[in-house]
Amino acid sequence: MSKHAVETSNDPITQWVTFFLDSEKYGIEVMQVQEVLRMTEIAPVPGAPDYVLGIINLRGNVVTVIDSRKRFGLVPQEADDATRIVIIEALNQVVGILVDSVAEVADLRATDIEVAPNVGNDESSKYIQGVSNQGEELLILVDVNKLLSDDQWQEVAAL
Amino acid sequence: MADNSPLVDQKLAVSMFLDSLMREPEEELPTVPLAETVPFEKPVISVPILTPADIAVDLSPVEEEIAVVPEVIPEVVVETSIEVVQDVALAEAEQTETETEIAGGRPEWASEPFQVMLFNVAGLSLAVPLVELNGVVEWTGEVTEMPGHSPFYMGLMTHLDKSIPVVDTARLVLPAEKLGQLAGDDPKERVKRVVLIDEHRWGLACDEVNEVITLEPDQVRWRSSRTKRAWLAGTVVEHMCALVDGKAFSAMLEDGSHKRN
Repeated sequence: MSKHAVETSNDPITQWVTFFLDSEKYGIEVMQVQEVLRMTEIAPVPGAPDYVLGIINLRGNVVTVIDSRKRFGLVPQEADDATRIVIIEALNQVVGILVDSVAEVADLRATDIEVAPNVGNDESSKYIQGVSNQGEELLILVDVNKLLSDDQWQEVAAL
Repeated sequence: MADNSPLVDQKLAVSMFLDSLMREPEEELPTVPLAETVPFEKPVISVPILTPADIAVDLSPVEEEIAVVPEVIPEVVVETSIEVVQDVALAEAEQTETETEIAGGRPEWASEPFQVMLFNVAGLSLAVPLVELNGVVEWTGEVTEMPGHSPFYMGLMTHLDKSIPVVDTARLVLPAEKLGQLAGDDPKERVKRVVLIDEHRWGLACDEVNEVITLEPDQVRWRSSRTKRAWLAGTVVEHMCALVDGKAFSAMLEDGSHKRN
């Protein structure tokens, strides 16, 4: 028992909510995820930046929904039955991100996480926290705090 | 017979490309304005010697001669200035290089005969020294594409439990005017092998891998300055190929300096 505890403290386990965008699987740390919603009506906001899809009414609170496909440089896709809005808390703001589908909650040991190789200094690659090999596939771990730049987070807060 | 002409065209094109690779950095040197070195005070001191009999003459004609003197002895001044410029360029190159180099822009591994492996990307032949080569793997097409990536970044490939970023070498080494030929091209269809460099840190996607040859250091036209295209150590005219410096290639990918090429 004590041996197990030592092993765990040396190699802490973190939990990640995994979702799909196109054919790739991504993960967000579970502590930052508040809830997962089925697709609902998203009201567009005139003059909003292109990475903002619009706003939704979440039990009386207005929540901005971010277009993760646009953010990740993917082509837009029509929402279907599997589409979900993942409500996250990042930098004291609650926002939603639209994803193709939500998969599961994965337990990852710290040693299972590889630091994401930095390719050039692409702005977009800054939000990739790391990758983890899950058998045949690779899970891309996203740092939601860096999903938007500081200026963009302020822009979203001002909507 | 009819097959010969495209081959000649290709050789000519490769030769021209290699020449253009080599030429560009050399053109950078003369851009330093020579006029900057003219404020050289010594000619002023020598002027009175020219007019020993006319000491009593007023100063204005002497001033005119001073104005003329720098034109009379530009050669001496130019020689001095070129030495200075080369020193500065070398010092700059030494600062930016990530590896130890010996004289003439040669990396340390090129102090004696060395082996290189030849490989092709989009019609261009490249050579990577074996000391910097970690392996060659088949392209299976199984890569994980990363979000928001640059067009040259093909994705992460898993090899021996390690995730290795694979780049489309053609898009990185071809000059801007040649990139047009890759328009509409799908690198995943073109690529056949991946060349691993810098302790498996990067995979260079290539069309095909050719033989391993031994090169004498003198067979390579080494580049003395690498402010641009840091990955190019030199060219080997005999084999019509560009010699890749693996460490510099890796550093270029990491710091994003490929965007300045």
